[in-house]
Amino acid sequence: MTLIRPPQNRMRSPIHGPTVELKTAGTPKPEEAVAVNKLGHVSEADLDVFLTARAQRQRGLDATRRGVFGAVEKLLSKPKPVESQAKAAHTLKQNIHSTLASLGAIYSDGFVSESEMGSLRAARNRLLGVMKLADPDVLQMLPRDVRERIEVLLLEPLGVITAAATRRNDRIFDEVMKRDEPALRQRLKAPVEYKALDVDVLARAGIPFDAAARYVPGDLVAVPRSDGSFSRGVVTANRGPSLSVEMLTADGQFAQKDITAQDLSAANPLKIGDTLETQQGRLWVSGSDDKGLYGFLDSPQGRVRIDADTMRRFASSLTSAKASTTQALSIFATLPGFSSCSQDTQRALISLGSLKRDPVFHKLFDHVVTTTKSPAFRALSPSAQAHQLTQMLGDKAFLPGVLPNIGQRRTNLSNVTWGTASWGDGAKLFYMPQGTPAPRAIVVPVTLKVGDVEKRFDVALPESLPEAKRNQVFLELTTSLQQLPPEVVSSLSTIVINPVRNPDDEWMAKHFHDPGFTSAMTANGDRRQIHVYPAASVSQAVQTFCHEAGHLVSVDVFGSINGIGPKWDAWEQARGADPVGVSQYGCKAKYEDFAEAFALYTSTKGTASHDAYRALMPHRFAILDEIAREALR
Amino acid sequence: MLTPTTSLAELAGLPPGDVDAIARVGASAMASGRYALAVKIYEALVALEPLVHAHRLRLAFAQHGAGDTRRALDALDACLVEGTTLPPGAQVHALLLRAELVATGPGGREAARADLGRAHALAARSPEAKAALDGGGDGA
Repeated sequence: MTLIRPPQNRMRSPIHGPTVELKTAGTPKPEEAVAVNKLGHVSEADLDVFLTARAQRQRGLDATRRGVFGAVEKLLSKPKPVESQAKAAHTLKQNIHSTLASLGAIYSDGFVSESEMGSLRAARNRLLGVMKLADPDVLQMLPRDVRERIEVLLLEPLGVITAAATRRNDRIFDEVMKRDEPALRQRLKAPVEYKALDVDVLARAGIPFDAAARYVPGDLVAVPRSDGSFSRGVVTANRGPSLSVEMLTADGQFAQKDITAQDLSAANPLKIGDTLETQQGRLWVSGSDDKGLYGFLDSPQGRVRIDADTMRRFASSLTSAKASTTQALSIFATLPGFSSCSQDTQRALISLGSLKRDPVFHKLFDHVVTTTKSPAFRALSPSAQAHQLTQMLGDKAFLPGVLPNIGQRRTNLSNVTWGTASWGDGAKLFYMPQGTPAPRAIVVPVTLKVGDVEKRFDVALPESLPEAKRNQVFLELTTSLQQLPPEVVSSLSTIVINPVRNPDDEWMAKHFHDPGFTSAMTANGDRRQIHVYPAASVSQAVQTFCHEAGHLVSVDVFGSINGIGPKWDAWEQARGADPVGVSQYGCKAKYEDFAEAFALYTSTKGTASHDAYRALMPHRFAILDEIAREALR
Repeated sequence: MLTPTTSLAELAGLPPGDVDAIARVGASAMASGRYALAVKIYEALVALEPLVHAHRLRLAFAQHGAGDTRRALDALDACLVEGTTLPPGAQVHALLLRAELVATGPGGREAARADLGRAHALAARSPEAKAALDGGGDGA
């Protein structure tokens, strides 16, 4: 037996950044990863089908759960092999005295180890678990002979042992409380000591942010309570699968608790005292209260309080991005040609690996990885490898036709306010083929609030549109507008719903060498209008709005909408310097490239993948950073 | 004698049929929708025989029924360990339930797909597992 850890040991600093001991963390087993990959042939679509089927079967049909359980019970209740039933049984009654003697030995000399205390608590809890069978509701349901045997052979002796274990546990607890309570109160009152969390070190070591392995005696934690609330506690022992903590209850009483590593991780997605850089700003994990872990985020809008769920989302996206980056780095770092690539190309190659949810860039990543594994590529000189890697990144064939819909934002519908309709002069609003009389317009003022940006703009619809159709268009438009990023909302002026296709489509088809060209939306820089045509798709509307808003923004930034003028040179240079294009449509002209890049930038800002896209287009994103700042100002 | 994995039922000299009788009471509680009582019974069985994974799977279903997803997942994790003594069909049911429960959590879709993949792999090797997968009807 060892002496209980002295209280001063509890002030040991938590594991942070470079102080992480890699040897204790273990490394991911490659064979496990391979096995998971082999089995992971179930696609995302398959999973959706499964979840939908499961949800449909269970909706309003609680019996399903019981039905499935019945099938499980049949499988579990198959007759046992004879040999397993023939094991010699001991008699618990005969063991009572030796068990009681063992319990009495604990702390008989005034010393006890943390692990002994943990074992004693675990044993007591297990015994209490079995004693649940003493519930009359359970006993009454058993056949009489079974009930009698359980009462005499099991519950009676266990009752004696449980009582002894509880008494012994309480006595030790009292002694521990006398010794530890002052130190605990002092530790809980002490100001949080922040330490920068080294995300790279954790990622390389394969340690999740919420791993119980990060805790040592003396660390502060949020402790989940049985009533759903939380207490702030101090770790006193970490045994791997479980930890011991001391804390003060809601009424200020000293308490001890054993907590599983899983429960600890669930309540502590990050560790109190962690501070780390995120895309939204620096995050500080400050402590815990009865609602759980809390912290603060230094966002561009100022310091905001965040809860454990928000921290979990940050940790999850950071973990995922880092793991992908580490994987990509391990693939490319072994290539002699990788170090011959420019820094921009190296960063872009590594970041491609983290864009797993982007089907386009993930396909490009797979292509690059497959190519680099081929003997022909391996046989190339380092400079030839570097050249091929750079070319693969710039291969337009892998880009999407137009930017796919990536935006995931959704603001509250109540933030959209429709004003009173007024009659507008159709000729000024609609694009109609030559000789066609322009219809009169219904102009509706709209106010939209996204984040801190509130913008009033007009929506114009043809008066001739049947009311039902007009309402449908409004609904679809509203759905799209709700998801627009603030930078795009700030550039809106007038949205015109055209009743006919764009009369300029023919010219565009010739200009872009695309015979089937059909406009979904266009932007008129002079009138600051976005025109929506019948070909516009609801599913693509958000991305297309962002694209057209990009055209309007380009007028303010570069002085023209069509790429003419010296101010466009900066964009052209950035476009040439970036390793990757944004879309095939963007490759047609520099002003379309700007609109596509603006749409990508605004629709991914604030998401986990934004930094990965930035690594693919660092020079263009640097210009867009400045534009976004101006737009929000 | 009283180690964390000792079967207390065996130590007490209870015939194996008595434990089965307790399990049947749990099944009866499940069938009548009394999930809290079923949780109590299965928790007692797990404490009684910690190495019997079947009790943990029953407990997982009871906790799921009682709406305690987190504890249901803990129980599923504990019964889907390497070298589990669950029969293949029961393993499939455990995997399907875990896939369903983890899918909505952070990073859960990948874990859910892995579980479904494991269920399919089991079904390819065992007719009982295949029957469980087909009978489950939730095949991906």
